[in-house]
Amino acid sequence: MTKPKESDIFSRNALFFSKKEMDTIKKARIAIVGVGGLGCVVAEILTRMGIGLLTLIDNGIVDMPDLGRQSLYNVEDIGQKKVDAAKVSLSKKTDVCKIKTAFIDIKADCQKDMLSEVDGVADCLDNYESRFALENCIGKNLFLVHGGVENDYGQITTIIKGKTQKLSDIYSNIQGLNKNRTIAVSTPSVFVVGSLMAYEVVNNILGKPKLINEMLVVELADFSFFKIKLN
Amino acid sequence: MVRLNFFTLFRLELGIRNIDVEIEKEIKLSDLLYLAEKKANKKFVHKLIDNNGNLLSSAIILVNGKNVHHLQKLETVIKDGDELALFPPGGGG
Repeated sequence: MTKPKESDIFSRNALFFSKKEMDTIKKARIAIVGVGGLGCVVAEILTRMGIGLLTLIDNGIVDMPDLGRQSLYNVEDIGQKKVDAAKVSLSKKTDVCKIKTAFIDIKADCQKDMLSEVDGVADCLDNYESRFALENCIGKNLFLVHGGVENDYGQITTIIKGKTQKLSDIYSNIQGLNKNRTIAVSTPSVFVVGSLMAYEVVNNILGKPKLINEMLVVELADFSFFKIKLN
Repeated sequence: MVRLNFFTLFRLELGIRNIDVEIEKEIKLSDLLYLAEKKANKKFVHKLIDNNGNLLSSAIILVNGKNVHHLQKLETVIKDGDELALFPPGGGG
């Protein structure tokens, strides 16, 4: 089989985005912290859009319940490190995006070096302690797109130090909420919130974030999207 | 008038998007919550405040976009025209 050309793979996006925007996306370097439900969706979308570099950070192993909503994993991946299985899966999508991996717990090891060589971070973590730890270890100029999902709802916002409230301020009383708690979550909500996160990551890459000082709340129960102003 | 907007689980369980409460000039947050509960005729304050009168860690209350933990918590003074958002955020990823 002939190797597909980049110009062919991304041709539909190139009809929507300008040449300059496509070039900016191609040069962008994004870290995805937490490669579970949200992280898989964000990673897949960015890969299929021609992102330059993805850094995947997670200390998880693929387990049976992950197959119900984590799009990059298959039955044969059970027992594998998520970051390794995700890298293999993503590499098969376009073979264009460069992918780095770190099998680490962001709470214990914040990977400042890896995070210093990216333009932005997607918070796809599943607990608030880790989210606050991530926020503390990223630099001033990076954007952080936060997403959270539960049942059939979720929320997304962009955090930029000095420009927005900190995540740990918005959620200041939530610390420890998810400890030892198995969270109910519906697969459609994971894909919807993950897709919206990927869209906001691209907005940030292109210098036009839409969720600065605003939180988008998505409620699938009646297909509602609401934006809450954050002061 | 003060508007309380409910999101996610609160909205689904209560079946209402928001409640408007008329106040004189200003009111303490805890008093406002009980007033709103009475007006809505649906219990929700127990999901925000524990038996000892402390804010629970399962939901957030934003007053004009700021978490009340950075204001005066349940003593926060709510003024006419303020807008509140109350919800348990999605925790999973």
